[in-house]
Amino acid sequence: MELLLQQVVSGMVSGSIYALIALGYVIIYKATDVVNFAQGDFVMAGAYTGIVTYSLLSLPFGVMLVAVVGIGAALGLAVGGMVSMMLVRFRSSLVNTIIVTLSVGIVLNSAAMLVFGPNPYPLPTSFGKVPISLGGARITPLSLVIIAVCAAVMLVLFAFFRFTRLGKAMRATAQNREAAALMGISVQRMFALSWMLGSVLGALGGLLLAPLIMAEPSMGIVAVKAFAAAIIGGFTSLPGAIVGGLALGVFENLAGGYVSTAFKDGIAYLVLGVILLVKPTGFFERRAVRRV
Amino acid sequence: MRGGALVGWVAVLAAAAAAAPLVGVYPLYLMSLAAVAVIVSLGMDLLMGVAGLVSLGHAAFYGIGAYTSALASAAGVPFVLALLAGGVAASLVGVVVGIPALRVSGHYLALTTLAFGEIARLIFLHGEHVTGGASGLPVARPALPGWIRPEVGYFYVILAVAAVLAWFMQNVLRSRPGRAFIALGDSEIAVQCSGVSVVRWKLAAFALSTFYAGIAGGLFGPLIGFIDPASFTIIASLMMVMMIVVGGRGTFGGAILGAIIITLLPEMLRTTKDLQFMAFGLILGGSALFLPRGIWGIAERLVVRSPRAVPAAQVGS
Repeated sequence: MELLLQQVVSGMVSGSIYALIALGYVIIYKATDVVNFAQGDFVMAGAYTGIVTYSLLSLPFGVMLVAVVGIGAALGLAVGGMVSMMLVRFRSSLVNTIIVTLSVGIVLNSAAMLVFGPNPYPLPTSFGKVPISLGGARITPLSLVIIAVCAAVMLVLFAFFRFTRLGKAMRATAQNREAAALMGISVQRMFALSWMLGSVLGALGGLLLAPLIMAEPSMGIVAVKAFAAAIIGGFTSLPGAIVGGLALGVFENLAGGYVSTAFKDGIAYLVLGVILLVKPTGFFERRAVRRV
Repeated sequence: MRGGALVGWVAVLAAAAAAAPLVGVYPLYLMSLAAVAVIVSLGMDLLMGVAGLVSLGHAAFYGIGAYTSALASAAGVPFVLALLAGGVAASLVGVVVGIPALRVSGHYLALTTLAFGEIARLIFLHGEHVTGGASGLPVARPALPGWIRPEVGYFYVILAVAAVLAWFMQNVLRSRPGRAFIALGDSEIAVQCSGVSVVRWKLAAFALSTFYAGIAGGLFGPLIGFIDPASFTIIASLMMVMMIVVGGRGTFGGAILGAIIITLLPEMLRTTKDLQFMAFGLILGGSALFLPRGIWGIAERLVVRSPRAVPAAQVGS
């Protein structure tokens, strides 16, 4: 029982990061019908930005946070702008948007390889790594901070979409572009905003991940797990992405604890396959497939 | 294919065959690689250019074909059968990977194949007792008549397979399945409205495409004489995507031109691996952004001088 609780708590840590990155996928997909195949490399960019500002340049914590958010927003704006231009001006196909976002990811990845090399960089933090006991489970202060930050970001997001005019405008655009445009909402601006928001979530995910696993150019592969988390949630549901991320993190840890640790990283692919076979529309979505 | 185009392609084929005994070992090796790439590219074009889907893990199917036919050859199976076994194995795995992903949307296939590519590479790497792991697997060339230089003879084998598969693809595209594939690329909703199963035909396109990749893999092994997991990485998969994007989507000529250009690209970009990878990203993204019809589309526009290039719906006509 104690082991079970321990595995669940540990799973929540990585799970909440998956959830954050998954939210990024979902926000961009809901608004623009595009899946950002560079999201994993945005995660990587966020991690390296944190390392450069905080650990290499020894800048204050606040500056690091601004830098990470800024990098995420800038990347999102650039890629989102490019993709929107393709869709509006060139009437590009699905395949081309996938390829362009993927290419941005490749360029970022090779840039990280060129600048930082293949060796992993740690991100030392002042939050302790000595576990404290918490109702039967042991957890490090760092893990607690990660969970708390994720929860806070999610709450802010929820409040933003629920209560602010801008958030409502974004939701309206995601629901029906034509109707939103007729209500005087700038659809282009909402697209850009969604891309920025989604990418910032990816970069933040990277920042939170860096102290746990160290940053390396290939760390973007974690985005595959976030993608699986988003699929569990139906790919268009924000609460679904959060539940999906947490569920995947916990499930992965349980499999690692009870079955085999070698099996742990493969579990996301297995979950992905099973969900797609059994319930391809996920558990939080009513109309993911448009039937004619 | 119209008469003029057919004559043109037969001339290209004849020129390649005539040049083979005359050029040096290395140019001939590149020509052989390009001919193998043409087979991959034809299958990729069916998927990306015609049916409007994208696979980011095609190198895995190429690898499955290569390992399967190498193991079959080693077990004494005749070359042609071993080659076919490689294609069929790749296609079967393709169906297993494709079924879950294709029931939803094109994005899922892209990501599922991306993940599968990585899984397959790990299996090639860690399945030492079957695949030889990182140290690879030696592959023997099929026995050829003694009067011909082995490299030249094997180039003819690849060229013949490529020609047959190209001819077959052209016929597929002109038949009922071909019209279904083309319709998928144009409008899935229209396909569904016509009572044609979207999922079934997407899966058929994916199965055929992975079959081509598997056959190409089976030809690749004996060409190099050796296969290892390093040949079947994500970079190899991306280069297969580049063949179509750079060459030109949905056209026979684009697929062939793309295969040749991408095969020669590493020769043109002799630099560090990381810089090369970045150049690939820039070329891929730049082509997708600025050359929607690829280099073939530009060539076609220059030659035909019509205001619009041939639409995808006329592939194979």
